[in-house]
Amino acid sequence: MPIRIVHTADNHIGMPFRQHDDETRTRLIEERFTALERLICEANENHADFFVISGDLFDSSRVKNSSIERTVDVLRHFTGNSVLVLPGNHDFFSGEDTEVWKRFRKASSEFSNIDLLVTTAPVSFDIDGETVQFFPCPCPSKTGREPVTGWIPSVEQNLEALRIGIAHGNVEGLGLDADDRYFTMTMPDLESLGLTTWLLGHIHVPFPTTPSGCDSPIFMAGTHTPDSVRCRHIGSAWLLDFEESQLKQYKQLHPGRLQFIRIEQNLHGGHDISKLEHACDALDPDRVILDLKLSGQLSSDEQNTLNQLLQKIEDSFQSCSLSVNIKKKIDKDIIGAHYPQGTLAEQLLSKLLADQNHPNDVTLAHDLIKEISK
Amino acid sequence: MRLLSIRLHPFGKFQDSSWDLSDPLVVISGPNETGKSTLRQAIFHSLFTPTNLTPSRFRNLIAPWLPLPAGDYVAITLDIEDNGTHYQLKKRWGSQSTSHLMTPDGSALSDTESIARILEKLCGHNEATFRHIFFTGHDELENTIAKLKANSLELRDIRSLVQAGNETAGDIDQRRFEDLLEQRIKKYFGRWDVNRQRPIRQNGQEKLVGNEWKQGVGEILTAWYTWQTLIAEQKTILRIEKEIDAITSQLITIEEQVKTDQKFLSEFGPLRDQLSERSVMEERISRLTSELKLLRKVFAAWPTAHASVDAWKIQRDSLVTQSKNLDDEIRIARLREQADDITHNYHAIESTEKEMHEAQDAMKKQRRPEPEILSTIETLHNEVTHLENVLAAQSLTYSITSDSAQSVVITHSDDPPEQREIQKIPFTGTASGRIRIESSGLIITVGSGTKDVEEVFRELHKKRTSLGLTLENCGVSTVAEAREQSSSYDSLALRMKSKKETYRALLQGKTRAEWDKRFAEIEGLRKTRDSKTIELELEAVRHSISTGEQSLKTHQEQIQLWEKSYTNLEALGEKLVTAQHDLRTAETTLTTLPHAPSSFPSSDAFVHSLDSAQERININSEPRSTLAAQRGGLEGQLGDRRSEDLAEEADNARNHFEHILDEGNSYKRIKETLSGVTPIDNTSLDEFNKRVAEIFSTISESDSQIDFLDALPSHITRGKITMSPERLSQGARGALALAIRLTLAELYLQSASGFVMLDDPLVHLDKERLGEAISILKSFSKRFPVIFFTCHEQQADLLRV
Repeated sequence: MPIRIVHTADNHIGMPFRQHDDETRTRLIEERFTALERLICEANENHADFFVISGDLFDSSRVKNSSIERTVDVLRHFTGNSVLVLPGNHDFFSGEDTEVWKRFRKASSEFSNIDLLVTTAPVSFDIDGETVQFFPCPCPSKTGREPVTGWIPSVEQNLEALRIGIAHGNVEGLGLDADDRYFTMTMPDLESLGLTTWLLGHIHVPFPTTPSGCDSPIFMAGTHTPDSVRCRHIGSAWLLDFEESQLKQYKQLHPGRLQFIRIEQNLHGGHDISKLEHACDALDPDRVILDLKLSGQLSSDEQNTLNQLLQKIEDSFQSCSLSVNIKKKIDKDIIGAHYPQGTLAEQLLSKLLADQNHPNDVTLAHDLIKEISK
Repeated sequence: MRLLSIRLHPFGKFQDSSWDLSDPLVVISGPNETGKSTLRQAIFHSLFTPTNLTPSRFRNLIAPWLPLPAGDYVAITLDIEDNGTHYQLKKRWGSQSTSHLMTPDGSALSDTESIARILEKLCGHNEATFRHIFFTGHDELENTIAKLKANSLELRDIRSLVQAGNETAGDIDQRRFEDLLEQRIKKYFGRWDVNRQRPIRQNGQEKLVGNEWKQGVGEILTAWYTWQTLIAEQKTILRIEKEIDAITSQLITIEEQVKTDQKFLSEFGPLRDQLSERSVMEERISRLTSELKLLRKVFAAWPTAHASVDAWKIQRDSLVTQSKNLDDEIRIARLREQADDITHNYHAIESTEKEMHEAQDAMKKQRRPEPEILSTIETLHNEVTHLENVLAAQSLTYSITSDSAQSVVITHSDDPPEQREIQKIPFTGTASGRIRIESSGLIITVGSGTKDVEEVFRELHKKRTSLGLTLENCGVSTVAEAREQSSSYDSLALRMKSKKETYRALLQGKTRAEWDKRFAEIEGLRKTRDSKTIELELEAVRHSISTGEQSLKTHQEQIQLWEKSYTNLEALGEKLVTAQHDLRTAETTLTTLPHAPSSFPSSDAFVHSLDSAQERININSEPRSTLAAQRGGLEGQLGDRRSEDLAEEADNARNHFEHILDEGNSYKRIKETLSGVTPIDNTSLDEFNKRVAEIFSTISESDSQIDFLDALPSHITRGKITMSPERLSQGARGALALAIRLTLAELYLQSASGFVMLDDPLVHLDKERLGEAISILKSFSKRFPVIFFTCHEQQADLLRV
């Protein structure tokens, strides 16, 4: 019988989403729980033996108690052997007084299938005669220059067992950590520790990049549901099958239901507006948190068309933020139509229009002229 | 450019109507609703409205002219003449919109852009010029009048229009625009240093976040402060996070230590009392063992000490006697050793005396020449040598040969003659001073010639003879022998003197007799061993005595001490037995007590560890609390802010700042561009004012003088009456407005051709002024084409005359 594991990380329960409006914020906060619930359900449907969370289950160590209790309530429904929770760098474990984990332990005390991995020592399980040994590497702080895997070489490994490392931190080549602050690990170092594979967290982009396969030295879960527009995927987790202490196959899961989409477009005419409309029509307004950043220059008619489109978008998308910086298009025809030839305005605007490197200059000058003319 | 004709097919209410526009003054008349405005609009749209309109533009511009009830297109055909060449323009808006231009060379254009360009060129002026200058509806004229009436006419507008007519800048007040632009630039760049891209310094001080400018801050600086504030906030958060991590690390260390200590205490704490007892017992055993060892030692040593004392007392007498004997022997041995020196010296005196006498005898026997005789011998020897040298200096060389063998006798100087056999081979030789050769009775004598050689020879012979006699008297044959004799004698004398001195020294101030006596005494002492041997033996004996005495003292003191401590040997024995018993008891007790963990060398060490662990727990309590409080404080400062969120906010703020900066720079570029636009020229205003006054005076039939204040009619003087424009009648104001409009049109049409469209401009004029105005218009139309719309047939008739 294969050993089956569902791997997730960076759930960031308790993330405040302060930059969003109230309605969107509520949706996003709720989604973090519901996506986790979906993942638990999927793990149960797939009869997973373990549900591994490789760090940052919580967004910080000051998460509200209600969020902790709700999280435990979600996790306890896992029907497999154990939910293994590793503290990450946002919800690091700094001793028994760490508030979030004290409360987590209290909330999960009656559920024996939830294990908090705060000790740097192997944890073994027996699944139908097969031994599974986990090597947890919890984060002791928010930042750190040394990898958290340093204790592993000094312990004895059961070479007959399925040996799996669980850690949280940056991996060289996968994430950006220019200041080397987040417990950076390297692939060669991880492979040299001699474990079957590594279940990692911290980088919100999943690894490997293929959605299924049968070989990978490490797995980065990626966040289970996107948390900002920087997260271009739709949420990720891994379903892993192991047989005879080896990885047999892996498959990507998508428990998330919301997606952040940012469209940045420079509009210069009706064609661009149509393009924008098509782009928005291709999105699911119930599942997309849309961020539109529009700039450019349009004529009055085009501006009206755009306004109608934006109204339509605002009406159809549940969550939508707009940033519109469209200037009135000033072209030769408009200048000719409004400013007699040879006049100051006509000369000035014509000269500014000729400067193609600074297309906004003519618009600003026109606005000033309008202001004087009022 | 001149319009020739226009056909609307359809446009508005006209299904298919045409008009001839080729006259200089075209008068279109008819009651209201007859389509005059429609025609005016059709002319305008044909020239300036493209057919490829967006739906909304179509709706706004053309849709009002679609034929009712359901027309879906409008169409116009316009014939144009330009410098003798003919163009035909066809435009259709709405369904199947098209544009079509037939050019003079016969080519047909249908591209909207190309047609628009050609029309622009033909028109000579842009759409706005036509709309605002050439096309004057009676609402525009009304506006002009209304503004005059209200005295709020923006005659700067007119001035700029005037100046535009002369192809100079205009249509907005340049000064106002510059002011507004300057305000805008100031609004953006307030307190911003463009060179450093930073806030302007105040007295050399930076005005960064935390020390911001409060007054006069522009948009750019505001945006910059916002951005920098977010960066600072982000840095603060990162710093706080770092501090929290540092404190956490310390706390972890303390926690681990406390945990370890607590575990240790909980596991081994209960052992403390038993191990304390064990420690005491171990100490007791150690003490008893030492005590027992001491007692045993004393018990064995005491009798030995007594025996040693007794033995020594016996040995000591013998050693003292031995010492005395050795003292005596060594005294005699030393005397003998001293005597050796005297004996040696005595023998030396004897031998030296003997040598002295021998030297004396030898001297007596040695012959020597007296010093004066020796001196004479030396002198004679020197003289002989000198004479021989003189002769040698005058040496002669010779060579003798003979054809036949002959015998010759050769005498050199004073030497004896020599016989030689001479043959053909030459016989050579040298002689000093003189040579004599004898052969067969022939005698050849050769002298040196420079000196009297014979005299020299004679002197030499004399000296040699004297020297020989002297040597013979001394008993020697040569000068060297004489010298040797003298030298030997001198050596003997010296030797004798030396021995004498040695002898005297050896006597050391004593007489020979005293030395004889002393020597005899020494010969009488008895024989001993050498003093060194005796000394060594004596030293050994004395050492033995000293050691023995010391040992005796030690033993006696020790015995005293023991007697004081233990009274006697029996008492000591009893004490020994007691101590043995106590030790056995303590050892038995120890076996019942637990041991300290094997990692500790002793119970003491273990108990000390327990105490240390407890002390550490106590000590760490305060730092734990302090650090936890510090961390709590920092976490409180942090709140729920995240450095990642701030990074995004800062990024957005940076983008905003760059956008604002860009806008500010745009305004600067606009200012720069403005400076390149031709500046206002005031001279055209005078011309304009004069012409307006002229037309006004003509229409008003009065010699009116208009005073302008910066292109604004400030006063009108008729005769002796001067009034402000608002005091003018409606008709006069209308005349003034018409004068201004016509003058403007004239100015523009001077630069390029065009035509004027007037829509009932004379409606407010009374009869008197009307006639003059019509006259003005007719005159105007002779120079520039005019299309005149009116619903007043009377005016139309007057114009057509």
